[in-house]
Amino acid sequence: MGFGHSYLVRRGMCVVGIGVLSVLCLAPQRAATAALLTDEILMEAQDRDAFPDADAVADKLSPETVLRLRVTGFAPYARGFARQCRDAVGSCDNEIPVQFDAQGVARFEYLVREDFGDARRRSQRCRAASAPCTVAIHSVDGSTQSALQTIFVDAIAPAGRITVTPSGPIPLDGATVTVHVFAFPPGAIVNAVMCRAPDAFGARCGLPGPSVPIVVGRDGSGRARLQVVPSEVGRSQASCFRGDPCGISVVSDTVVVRARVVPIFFAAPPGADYDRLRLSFGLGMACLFIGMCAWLIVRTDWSEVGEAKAPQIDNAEYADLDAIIAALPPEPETLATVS
Amino acid sequence: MTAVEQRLRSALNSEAGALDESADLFARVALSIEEDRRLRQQRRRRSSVIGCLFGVVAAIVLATTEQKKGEFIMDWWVLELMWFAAMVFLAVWLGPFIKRFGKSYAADVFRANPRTGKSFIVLMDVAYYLIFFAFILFNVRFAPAHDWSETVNASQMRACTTRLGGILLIVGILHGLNVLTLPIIGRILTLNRHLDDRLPPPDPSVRRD
Repeated sequence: MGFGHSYLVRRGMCVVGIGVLSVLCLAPQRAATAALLTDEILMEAQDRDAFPDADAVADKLSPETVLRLRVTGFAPYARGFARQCRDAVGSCDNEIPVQFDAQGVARFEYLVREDFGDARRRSQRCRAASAPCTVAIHSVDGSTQSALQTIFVDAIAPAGRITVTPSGPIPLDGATVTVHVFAFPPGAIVNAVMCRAPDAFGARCGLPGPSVPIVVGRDGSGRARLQVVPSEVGRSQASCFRGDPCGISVVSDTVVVRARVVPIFFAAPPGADYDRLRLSFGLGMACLFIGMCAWLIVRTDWSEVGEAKAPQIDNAEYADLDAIIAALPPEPETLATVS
Repeated sequence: MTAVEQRLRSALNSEAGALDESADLFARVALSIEEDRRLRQQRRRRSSVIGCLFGVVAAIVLATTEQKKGEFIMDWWVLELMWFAAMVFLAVWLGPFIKRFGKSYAADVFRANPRTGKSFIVLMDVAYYLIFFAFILFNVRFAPAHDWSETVNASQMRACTTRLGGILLIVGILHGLNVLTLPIIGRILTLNRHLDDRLPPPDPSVRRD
């Protein structure tokens, strides 16, 4: 059983339940006997505005494996959930509650299966040639989360690399960038997409946002030009506009690919320059026009003339409220004295 | 003087003698000429005021717009300020319309309750101003929206026209509702008054608990 590089902490001793609150995942009787127990895996809470580490992956897992997890970085005494998800948060199941301790750490064992949920087809079994699956841990209030990509049976190649040129801010009216991929599975067809952090794949990546296919060559590299514009991305219509944490990722439905997402940000183009002479002249003219306008309004007799005056209407007996009120007898003031 | 001239003169004299001479004829003609002159002056000055307003907008646009790479660009906040000024102007301009044009209408509707009519006009003015300024304050932006740029773009133009259309729609609906519902309210108030008039005054000897 192999794991990603620095993300896993191997410990030679059992730490479950020592000094921290722990939650034991009670698996079905059939699975409990067959499941393998892993070494302790460290999962750190990730910033909601940052993309996950590409090394957060555990591969060559048995079809039913008990992961021994140590999750850090959550709020003290936070409550959360752990669940298995397919295609990021697209389809999740196998949910258990998690309780964190005073240091925001939780240690627990968690049974993961390659055919969780309603996955019966082979293509859905969280292998290397299927949509990526994860163990996602999130706090109840949704403020903190952590994820570990899980690949059963198959081994995964080392993480690839993505570069985006030109680098730097992208104007708000969009720009075309070139996406290069390196050390990807040769012959694979992948998609370069825009994702909203913290997802590197799944419901907050791709269409209707920018997306372009890339055919990876024999040397494991490929490139494509991607028109990047501020837009909503993915099925969940996450927003990738100015100020939103977004990046360029590479995803595939047919093969597990992983590479660190390249963050991008949209920047406003420089505003207008103000020529002092032009500004002074324009504002001076505006003041002159305002002055003329005020003079015309004040100095003109705007009283109605001729037919517009409509004296017939004004002189009608009901048309002058003031006259009607003046003609009324005074209001009786003694009503209040009635006891 | 020929005979023909003699006959013509006598005929005109007899006709002129039959007419009643109007003492203020000259004054009325002079007033008519004066009113005509004032009307033409008002039209000219009204056009000039509108021209000046366009001039103000054009001067500000000229002062704050820069031509860069073949495109005219203006900072987003300039258009936002212009929009704000236009909305305030619109509110101040449309506000007195009720007082100006609705007086006779309200007087007719509230002819049985003229004091109510007068209060109504004042209260409606206040209500309209409050609605106008609430709408303006709801829509003021202190930072560009998601799809706006640092310079004016199509989204911002659309937002400006939408907000302008919004206030015009609100004004239209309020005026329409006012015109339609006012007669009903006036009628109800009149009937109430008649009903009160028919009831005998309360007996002071009867103690109400």
